[in-house]
Amino acid sequence: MKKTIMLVLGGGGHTKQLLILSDKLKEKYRIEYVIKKGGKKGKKRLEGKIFRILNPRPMDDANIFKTILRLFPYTFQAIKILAKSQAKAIIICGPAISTPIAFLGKIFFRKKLIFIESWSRVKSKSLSGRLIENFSDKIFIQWRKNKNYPKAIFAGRLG
Amino acid sequence: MIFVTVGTGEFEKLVKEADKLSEKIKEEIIIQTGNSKYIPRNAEYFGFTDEFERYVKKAKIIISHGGAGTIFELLEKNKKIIVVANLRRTDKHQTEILEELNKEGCLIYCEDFDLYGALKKAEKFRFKRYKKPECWIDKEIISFLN
Repeated sequence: MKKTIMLVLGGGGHTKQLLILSDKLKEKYRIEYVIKKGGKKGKKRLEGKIFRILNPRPMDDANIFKTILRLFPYTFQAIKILAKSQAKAIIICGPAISTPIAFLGKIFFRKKLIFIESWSRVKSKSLSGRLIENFSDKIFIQWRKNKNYPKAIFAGRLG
Repeated sequence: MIFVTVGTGEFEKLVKEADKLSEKIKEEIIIQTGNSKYIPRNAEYFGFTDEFERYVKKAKIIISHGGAGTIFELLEKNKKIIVVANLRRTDKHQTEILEELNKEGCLIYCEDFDLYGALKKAEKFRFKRYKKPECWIDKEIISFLN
């Protein structure tokens, strides 16, 4: 039986990176995808189980208070998804709003957490990285120059 | 044809400047406006398309937002690109990768939104080929999860 992994697609370029990765991993693993509800371009051809989750911070309404309010139903949905999931590991690539489900998975569902710092971070550290660094079992940077994570490894770039 | 793309977000300023540019030059300009609200007066435009690649293929020069995904995709296709950073996005991180790739000579990073100037520069500029680095993140993950 193939092992299962979960990819949390963060939208735009974040999604793009994980889809490149999923192409490389799909022979080896069953893949579960978590995508945002109501995304404009949500109809990509994904092979595997798809979970939809509320987006607490849609691009057209990034109001911080509404985001915090939306985190309540989000958390509820995330726990439901994680309870159904068979994944051994969760892989995320940002943005920050994709980190809570990974965090919950790590803390309450004993899933391994793999964080890939976005390819746009040549030298700087993303908010996702700051939030999730200490909970990650494995961290990848995509530029050698990025020295922000003592335990990160460089294994090339997805683009 | 010059193809302008703002990606999935909104980038009013780029759409506006590209529209202005189309008044100044003869070359046809087509703008992908994403979620931007500004409606171009001169240039041809659309919000989103399933035929992104067709436009990319047809374009002589592409003016793009600074999203790394789009940039890598265009560089791999060996396109001549002028890039402007969308500074309203999160923490201005788009500039980092643009400075890096600009330094390597793979693209023209247009910091001041002078698209006309950038276009003139692009006509003579010798764009360096982007070498896609090797990637073994998948192998690391497989061995880690074993």
